[in-house]
Amino acid sequence: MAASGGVSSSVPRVLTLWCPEWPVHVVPPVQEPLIVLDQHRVIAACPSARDAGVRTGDRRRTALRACPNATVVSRDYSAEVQAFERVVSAVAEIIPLVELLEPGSLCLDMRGPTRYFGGEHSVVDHVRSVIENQLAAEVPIGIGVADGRAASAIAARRSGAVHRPVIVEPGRTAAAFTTMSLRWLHAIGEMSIELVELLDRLGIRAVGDLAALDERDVLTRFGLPGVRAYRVATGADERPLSSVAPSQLPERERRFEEPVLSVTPVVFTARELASELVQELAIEGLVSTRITVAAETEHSERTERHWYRSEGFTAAAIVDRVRWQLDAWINESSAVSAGVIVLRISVTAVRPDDGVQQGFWGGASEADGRAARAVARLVTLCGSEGVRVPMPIGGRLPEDRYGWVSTTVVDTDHHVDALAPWPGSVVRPAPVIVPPDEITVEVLNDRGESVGVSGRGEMTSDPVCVVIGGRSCRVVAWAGPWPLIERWWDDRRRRRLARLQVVLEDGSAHLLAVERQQWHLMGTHS
Amino acid sequence: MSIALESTHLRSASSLTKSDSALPLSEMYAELLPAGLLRGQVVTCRGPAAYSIALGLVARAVAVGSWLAMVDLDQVSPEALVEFDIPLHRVVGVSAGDDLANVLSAVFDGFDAVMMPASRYRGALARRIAQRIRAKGVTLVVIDDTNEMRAHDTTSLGDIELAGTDIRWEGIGWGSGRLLARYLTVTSTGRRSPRPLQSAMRLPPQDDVYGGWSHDDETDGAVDELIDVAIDSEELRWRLRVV
Repeated sequence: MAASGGVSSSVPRVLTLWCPEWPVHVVPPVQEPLIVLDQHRVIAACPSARDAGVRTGDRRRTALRACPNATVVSRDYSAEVQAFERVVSAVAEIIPLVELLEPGSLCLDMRGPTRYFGGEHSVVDHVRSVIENQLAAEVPIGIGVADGRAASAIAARRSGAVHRPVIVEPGRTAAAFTTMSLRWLHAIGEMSIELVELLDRLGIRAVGDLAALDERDVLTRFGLPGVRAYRVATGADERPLSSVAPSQLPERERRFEEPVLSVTPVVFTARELASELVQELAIEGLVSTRITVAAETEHSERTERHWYRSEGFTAAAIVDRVRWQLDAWINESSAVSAGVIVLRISVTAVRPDDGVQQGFWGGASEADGRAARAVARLVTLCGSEGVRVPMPIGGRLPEDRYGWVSTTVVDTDHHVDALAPWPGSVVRPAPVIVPPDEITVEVLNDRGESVGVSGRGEMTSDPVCVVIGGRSCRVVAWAGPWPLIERWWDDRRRRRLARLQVVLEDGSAHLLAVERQQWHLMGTHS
Repeated sequence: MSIALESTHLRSASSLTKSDSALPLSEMYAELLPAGLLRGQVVTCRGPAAYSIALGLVARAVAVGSWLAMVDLDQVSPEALVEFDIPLHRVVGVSAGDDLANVLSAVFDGFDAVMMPASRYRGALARRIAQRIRAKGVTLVVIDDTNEMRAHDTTSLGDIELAGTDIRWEGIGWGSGRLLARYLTVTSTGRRSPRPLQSAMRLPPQDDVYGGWSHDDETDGAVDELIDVAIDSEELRWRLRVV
């Protein structure tokens, strides 16, 4: 056992507030069950959908298989931030230095408030009562207090599950989280999913397992990301203290000659300021983890919010925060009565950038620069979710193998096009069109009866006709079936299906799959 | 020397002068587009192979450095892009939403090649888009894979239309084999070309029989050898173990 209890007193006590299923509560009332998706993955669901077996991270199809009558909506960041703004302002009334993590989550330093309110329990009670005044009774909240941001974020998530505030005593972090899954470290952004899965394969599944290792061993085997996760697991400060004095931290301000009346130009300016800030820090080998965004109107109305992101802020992430904040601000009734004249972004905390080193050779061409600027502009127009880049993911089915991922979450300098071999996947050519929704089809034999695949992996009869979207088409060639059984050990994610390629009389070719006696369209070779 | 010049990263001096007005184009399409893939043109791809024709059309340009934007084409699988040798790191997908005109004007500022579905390219907006891409020197590829031939107004037709017909799939039989590639005849009709041009091609273009089974060239080579030495079954058994 490594010494896990020895926590230096430099680790600040932090309170984290986390509203589980926040995206669900900002959706205007619709018929339940309700599922909220972001980039085709479930990010939140209402309790009845959860009971039906919908889990965070599921694909749309998996979720709908578990809960077929659910209403599916996609995530609306601005609505989430706007709705959360009430909570933030209410908390900021009693405790001024509130840091926003993301919509539905904030954290604050406990040192001052503990002294002011007389004890951590008292602070938690105050925070809870102001929040409960703002939110409807059925909105669950999680409040966690612990050493450092990461531990308190975990405590808040646990609190959301047990429906009461969780306070981890100083120095007891490691003991409190020993049995929790390492996936929680991924959920709070301290660990990549690849590292979680690697540790999982090595038999290291709980926070306590990781904490029991030796730090030097962790460093040699898993490098810096491993050490960061180890520090969180042992309750040490997740980030070493920064050696940069606060006065040296960069700040950018833009004063507008003419008051600006719409959000878009301000966000566009923010883009410029953000890339300047990020570049300035990058020269020093730093990345910012905490920023303050402030804007002021002609009539001296002000908005100022602190944002924290443990992964560090890219320019796009800063722009996103500015847009969320401004959207929430101008939509708040009676907050804004004139145009914006000042926008200020200041970096308030930095850490050394241990990310990917940029390539040395073959820098960017002129076309790359032009495209990068266009992407930046597009992000301000359609939001970061509207601009995506293709990424290899891995899997045996066309829908699993590659995906479109938001530009803000990928490192566009570090590209991998190839995919590891996946035995059992359908061989190339891959279908060009992979429908995001499940499209059911009918496969009929010469007597007009439905064709199936037997338990021995044989067609029950020859497919002669395929009905897609109500249009019936004659089959001119077919191949298969290719059975596939995936993850039979996992009750929820297991799949048992058989794939079939058909060429129809109009020259189109399709990849079909039968799963639980129902055929659906997996892809089209167009 | 000749090998070096054929490399995708090097261009000859003569191609440099041409590159101002046209994007690099794969040889397959040379007969269909004698003037090349001109900037400022709208190319419409039609028929059941519309997507493949469109991807083959821009593949070469993206491979040598142009950026490709795919507007409202979420359903296209990136895996297909890889099979057409399109480097994924120069492809960006954009969901335009309701504000199509503004989004497109931002797209045209930064990308050489833009792809969009025909459902979003029509009417008055299509005319505006056509003007805009001419000014910006962008090549727009419009994909229309609906089967029915709609009554088009002349603008939404585009400058050049590529339609795939006589599609014949290779490798698949009646309950046997698997899809390998399709042979098809692509016809190009243009407002400025006097008569339709035709060309037979194979899509996807790669010519590897074992493709997909394994992307590893070394293994493929080993399999070729295996067939040569198949006479010696003892040898074969040994080699199979190695493979």
